[in-house]
Amino acid sequence: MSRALRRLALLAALIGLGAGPLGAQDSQFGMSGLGTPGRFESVRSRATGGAFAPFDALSALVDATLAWADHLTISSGSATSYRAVEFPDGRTWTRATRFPVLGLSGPIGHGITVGGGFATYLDKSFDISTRDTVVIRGVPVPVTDRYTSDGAVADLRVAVATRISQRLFVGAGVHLLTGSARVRAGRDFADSSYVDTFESSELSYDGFGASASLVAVPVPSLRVAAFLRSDSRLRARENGTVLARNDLPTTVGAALRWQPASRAAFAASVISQSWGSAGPNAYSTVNWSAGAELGRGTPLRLGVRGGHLPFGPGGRAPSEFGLAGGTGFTFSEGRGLIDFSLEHLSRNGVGLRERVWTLMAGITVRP
Amino acid sequence: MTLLIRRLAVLGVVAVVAVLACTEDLTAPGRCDDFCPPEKIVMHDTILDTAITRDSAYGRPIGYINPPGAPVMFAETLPGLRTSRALFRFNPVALLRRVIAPPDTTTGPLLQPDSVFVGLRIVRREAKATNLTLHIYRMPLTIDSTTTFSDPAVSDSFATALLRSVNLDTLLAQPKIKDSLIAIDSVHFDSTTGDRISVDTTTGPVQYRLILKFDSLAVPFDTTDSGRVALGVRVTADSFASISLSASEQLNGQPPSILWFNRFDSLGTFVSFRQAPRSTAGPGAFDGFVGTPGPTALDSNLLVGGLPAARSLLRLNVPRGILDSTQIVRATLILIPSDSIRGVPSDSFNLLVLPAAVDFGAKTSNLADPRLPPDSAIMRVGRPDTVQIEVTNILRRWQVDTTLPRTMILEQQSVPHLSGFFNEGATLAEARFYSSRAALQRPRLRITYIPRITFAP
Repeated sequence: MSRALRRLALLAALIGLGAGPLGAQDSQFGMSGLGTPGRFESVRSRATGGAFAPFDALSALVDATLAWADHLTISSGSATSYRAVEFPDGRTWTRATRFPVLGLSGPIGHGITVGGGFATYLDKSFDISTRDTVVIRGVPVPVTDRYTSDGAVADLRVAVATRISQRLFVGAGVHLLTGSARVRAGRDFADSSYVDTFESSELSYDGFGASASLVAVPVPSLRVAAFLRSDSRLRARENGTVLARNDLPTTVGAALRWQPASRAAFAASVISQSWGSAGPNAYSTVNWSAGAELGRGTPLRLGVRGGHLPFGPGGRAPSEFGLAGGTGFTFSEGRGLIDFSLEHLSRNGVGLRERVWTLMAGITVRP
Repeated sequence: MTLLIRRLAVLGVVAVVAVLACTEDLTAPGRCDDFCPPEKIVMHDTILDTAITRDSAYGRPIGYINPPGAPVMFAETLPGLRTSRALFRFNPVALLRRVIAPPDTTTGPLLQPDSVFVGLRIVRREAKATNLTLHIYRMPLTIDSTTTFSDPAVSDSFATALLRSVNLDTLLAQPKIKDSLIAIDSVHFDSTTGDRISVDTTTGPVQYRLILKFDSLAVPFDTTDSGRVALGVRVTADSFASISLSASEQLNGQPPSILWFNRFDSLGTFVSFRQAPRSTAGPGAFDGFVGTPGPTALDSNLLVGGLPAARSLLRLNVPRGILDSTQIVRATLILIPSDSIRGVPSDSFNLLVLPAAVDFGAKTSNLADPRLPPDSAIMRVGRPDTVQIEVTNILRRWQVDTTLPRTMILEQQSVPHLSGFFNEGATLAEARFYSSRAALQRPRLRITYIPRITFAP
């Protein structure tokens, strides 16, 4: 193993060290629905607000982009979020680490590229503590309730892509949605006459989806992507008993990438998801993003995104607006890439506002 | 910036990120109902009127502890309530003769003593009692576990054979000295009588070590009976004349003891000879008490405590819907006394509720589990209040161990004495509760529980 690869292995180990379990709650809004949807974006795409994800082979959004993966490529990333939960009467900071995406892709011959990996489909981790006073036996007793959920639904993807012509790339994929969450609800009493208690269980989830996409290159400096994905339903079980079935959305999106010069590229995308049929407190969403990548070697990436979250109380979908930036480094003659990004999200809903700073690090290896 | 510095900087940033990412703090405040999970913790509280059935009392006339096996001896003079007197007989002296002049092995008899010291440990006295006086009587050597209060030999002795009386308040008022000969302690010493008393507060309630001095006229050295002596104790006071003396059955206790200082003729020179102390433990010895009135018989109520020590069993029929499928956060046993507890304030005791390991009726044994401390309530003398005892631990144990019988044992535990607790038989006070046969006052169980939570998908 060369020195450069050893360094890459060291970096991968450091990133892996920081990649904790799927144990973060991206948004408290998600508790009123199925969870917080993940983003099928690599770290480098997150740095552009997600605008470059439809054209990024390391992202799991558009299968057709796998056709650009001319080498075996392995990528991974971790994200550490600092989230301020702001209710009208106070603010609390939370901190969490996720391991949101892992991808593997490479050509298998005959112009076909196969890719796969996993990404967070729905984050179901949260830890909520509430204080109240309940009247028991005619006496007010202060209690502290704690609800926790630790888990997620992951999207396991297998996709293929190929080049139809010099100007058209197509791809398709199948998605197995699977995951589990360890849930726990407990109550602690201030009065020691009562025994603190809790109940826990493990819920498992499964679902299925399929996706198709195409990328057109009408002129060398312009790429246009269109993609469609349909997910069936999410089935939740507890000890083998089906608790619920929730419809999952159909996703339709389009994106544009323009590279007027070798050191400058711009992209924009729009994605529509029909989450509104997923249950109560669910809304269909349209999200957009725009971003730029300036320079080569150690480029500067910038992006902006906006739209809505699919779940939230109060009869109105919470809004979301974000700014992102980042850069990356290339090592070992292009065989290793390290990307960093910093993202700030602002979410507003009925009765709650969230501010999220997310620091991400990703590594890509092309052996 | 050189390439090396740039790479080191990258490594540093990644390391910092990794370290920061190693910690998580997910806990956020909830604002229910909008920002809480759909599942709710709901509590129910119910009184089960008929959950306790087939309740029984055991322990009379033969109790779990009987008077001869009691850890204490009672001496009480409580007019209108009860009268008790302690009786004890020491085992024989160690020596009746000794060598006159070694190495000659010829022995001579030990003579009447210069002095005799009798030690008693008072493990309970009534704090309000004033002029508490112990009266020591000589008893016939025939006393044993069959002796009763009305036995003529005993009653005659208490009427005629008074040896000494000692007022504890007067003795405690004497100056303290360091006694290195008899008590081996700092004692209040009466130089006139030779009596001494030390106060022990290390075990919680105040206890006393009383040492009385007698002469050979009061306690003669009777070689025909191997130096055995039997004594009795009666107490008087302005009020609350009630004490408990440590008996030989008390674990790590200090039963009555006697120490002889015999005289001995050593070739014309009379010397004092200290015998090894004797106690009321072992062959030939006895300690106990007699009293009146005798123990009450069992009736339709539940009886706990007293001597002979009684216990009651409660058999519970808790709905399976609660026991099997809920989280019990509090369970309270409600008992209604059919009579107030009689005695002096220091007769107050703990009422234990223990889970049964097996239910064999009177021979039911309790579950010995150090992780399951018994539930209890303090039973105070003279208070006829409804008793509420927390039994949450027992019901939660039943939830996890379905093989245990749904039986609770009501047992007495008196206040702490030397080296821990007396479980039973250390007080004559007893508690009576209405049983399930009394429809309106029957025992009840109050349960607060949380039904099973259905987690939202």
